[in-house]
Amino acid sequence: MTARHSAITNGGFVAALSLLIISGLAVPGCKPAEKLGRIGGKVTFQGKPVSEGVVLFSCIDKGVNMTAALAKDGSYEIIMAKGAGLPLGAYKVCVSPPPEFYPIGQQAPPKPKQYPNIPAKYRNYQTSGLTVTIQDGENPFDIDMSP
Amino acid sequence: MVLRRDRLSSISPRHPGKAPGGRVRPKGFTLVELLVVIAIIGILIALLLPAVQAAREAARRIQCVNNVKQLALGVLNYESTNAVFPPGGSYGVAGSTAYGASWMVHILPFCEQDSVYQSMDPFGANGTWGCYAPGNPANQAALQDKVFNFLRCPSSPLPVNGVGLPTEYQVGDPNGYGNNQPYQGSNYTGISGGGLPPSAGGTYGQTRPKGSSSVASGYIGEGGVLIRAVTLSVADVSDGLSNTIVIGEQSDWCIATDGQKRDCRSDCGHGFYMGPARVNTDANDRDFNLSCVINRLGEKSFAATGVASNCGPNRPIQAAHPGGATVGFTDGSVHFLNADINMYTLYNMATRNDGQTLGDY
Repeated sequence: MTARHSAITNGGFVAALSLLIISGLAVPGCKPAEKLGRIGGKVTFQGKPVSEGVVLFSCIDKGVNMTAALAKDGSYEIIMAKGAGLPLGAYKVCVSPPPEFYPIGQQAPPKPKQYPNIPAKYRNYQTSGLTVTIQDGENPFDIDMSP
Repeated sequence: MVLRRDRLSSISPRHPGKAPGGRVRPKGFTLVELLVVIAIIGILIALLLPAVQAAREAARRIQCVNNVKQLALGVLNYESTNAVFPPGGSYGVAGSTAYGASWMVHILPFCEQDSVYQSMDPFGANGTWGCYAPGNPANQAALQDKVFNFLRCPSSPLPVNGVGLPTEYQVGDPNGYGNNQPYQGSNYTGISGGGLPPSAGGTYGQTRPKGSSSVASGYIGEGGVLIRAVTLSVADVSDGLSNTIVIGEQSDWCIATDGQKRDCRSDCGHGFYMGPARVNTDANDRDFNLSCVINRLGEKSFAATGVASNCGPNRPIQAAHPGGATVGFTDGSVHFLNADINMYTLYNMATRNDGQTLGDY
């Protein structure tokens, strides 16, 4: 009697365990998440931090084009929808003034602001000459611009 | 003993309530037996539930594909009637900087909505076109609180329109345009081109930076089938109608750097009807309800280039469906593209005359 009882208890235990395992398997997706390498740093112009602007990273092969706004101290970090960092690979980098906002009802164009601390050559991927290869882990990337 | 067992089995071999050997079996089930049965049922349901959810999602996706089909056929039927494809968006009345109508307004008569179209003022004859106050009374009356099911993907968690939504869910720019507007946003965008221009290290010459003050604003496409204020003929689509996409799906939220959800559809919170204005400044260079494909399929980062800025022209093709998104080709065919599609295949699909053969997709 005791032996039979404990066998059934074991069966229940095994069933409950397998239920847990199966439900645990069913909930998460089937594909592992894309690996991101963290990327961040500081943008300076002749040693002084650039407080307004955007750093852009582009990998045409992957169709990954990301922006990061500069903080007051010139620092930035790329944050994608699924976390901080960029998919691993080679990227072109440029630094641009921030995009303008322009209210829809307003017809008078705002006066364009000048950003002398972001020289023209850094404003597009073709002339900036900046590239970075993102690897697994941390990828500190500081940019010091000169005229 | 042997004799007794023989006699029992000869009289009633399966005597209820009595186990062989004469022991009395307990009536009903034990708690443990019950638990085992429940556990087994639980396992079966756990196995079944994902399959049921997947089947429901598959049904919603099929309806979404059907919507894209209807829009693609609307574009084709417009071509049959007018001998040109609809413009990607038309300007407001001549001599003004008023915003005009999107391509979706122009194909309304070909999506069985001729009565709505007839009650509108699609070319803004009285000076203004849009629905924003003061706006155009005819268009406001025709579109207010109106919901066209063929512009709505059933899988989409996005709101139908902007009524009662917090500002940050609307456009994503600090001004929060579109807030509380009772005009439907579309889950489908027109494709105005693809690929990055040489100045951004690419090879697609028909894509240009939006405005000129900041490349962070993104890139305007002119290599697709639906281009701002331009009507193209079949002959202009030299890659072939079946090799060029004209409609892309946008049915999920994007995620901003603070982890918050943002609406990143190409109507930029203004509704499906919104078209372009005659450009008078860099900042006014906005392609409503059009997207130039530079970001990968399924990109949901709000900080991607050409998404967050003042009506970013590169709002990605992305879907609430797992694994990819729906696109409509110019010949009226509809495909569900996998999220890991080769980017050059996608750029070439979005460009009508690149001369490249498409890879597998």
